[in-house]
Amino acid sequence: MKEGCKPFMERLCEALGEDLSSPLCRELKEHLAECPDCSLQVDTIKRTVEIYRSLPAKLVPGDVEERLLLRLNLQPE
Amino acid sequence: MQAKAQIVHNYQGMVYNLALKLLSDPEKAENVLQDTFLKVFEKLDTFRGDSSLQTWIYRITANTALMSLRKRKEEWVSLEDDPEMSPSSKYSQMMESLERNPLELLLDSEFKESLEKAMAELPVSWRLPFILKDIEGLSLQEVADTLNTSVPAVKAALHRGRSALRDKLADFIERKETGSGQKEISS
Repeated sequence: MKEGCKPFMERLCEALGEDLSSPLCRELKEHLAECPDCSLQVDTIKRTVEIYRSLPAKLVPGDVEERLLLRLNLQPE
Repeated sequence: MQAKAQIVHNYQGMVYNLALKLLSDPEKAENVLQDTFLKVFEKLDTFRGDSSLQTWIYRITANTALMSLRKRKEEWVSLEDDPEMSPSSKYSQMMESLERNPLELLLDSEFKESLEKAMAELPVSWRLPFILKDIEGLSLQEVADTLNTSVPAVKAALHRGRSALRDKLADFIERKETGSGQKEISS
């Protein structure tokens, strides 16, 4: 297993509702270590989630904030 | 009045971003933003402090956004079939490209747009578990409770949503690489 895979496997097993030492997790680890195709599947999914997580939060547009304060009868600062 | 303005100032970003992610529609996200704060101030007297104010407002936002989505029943169509898997070569190309120039890709506005478009195109029943679990960090049980469904159903939807998003990203990268390859050849 590549460096950095163990934390990922922990997250994967947690997502599956399994303990890291469970038979299912052990089986998954063993298979991934020897199967490039499945490993690629897992790696690309992992990168996809990381990319979406890394997207920065958006600022509330000025006009949206203005209309919100108006609806709530609050004065802009 | 001052306290209300402070609450809006502190939490409007969280409310707007969560609504935008769940609904993938700026106009509807704005409606949820307004409705959420109306409910917050209507119920503020009942807030007992069992959770933090942030958690309480977060829950109201999620519920308000879900109510808005449930009004659009047609988007809840459950697609039972697994997404078709692309050939491994496409995924290899995706990984190579992400490893070769990760920052360049992430700063690319066209790439960001494609990420948002891919999310917006995802069926609601796949998008919500992905956002709540993978982006917002809720547990599987919390997602199941929020969506009023079972943990196995959440796991299945997560798998489908993640795979569909991954495939859309792989398609985007393939198109981009092919396009730039053609430019290099023609120049």
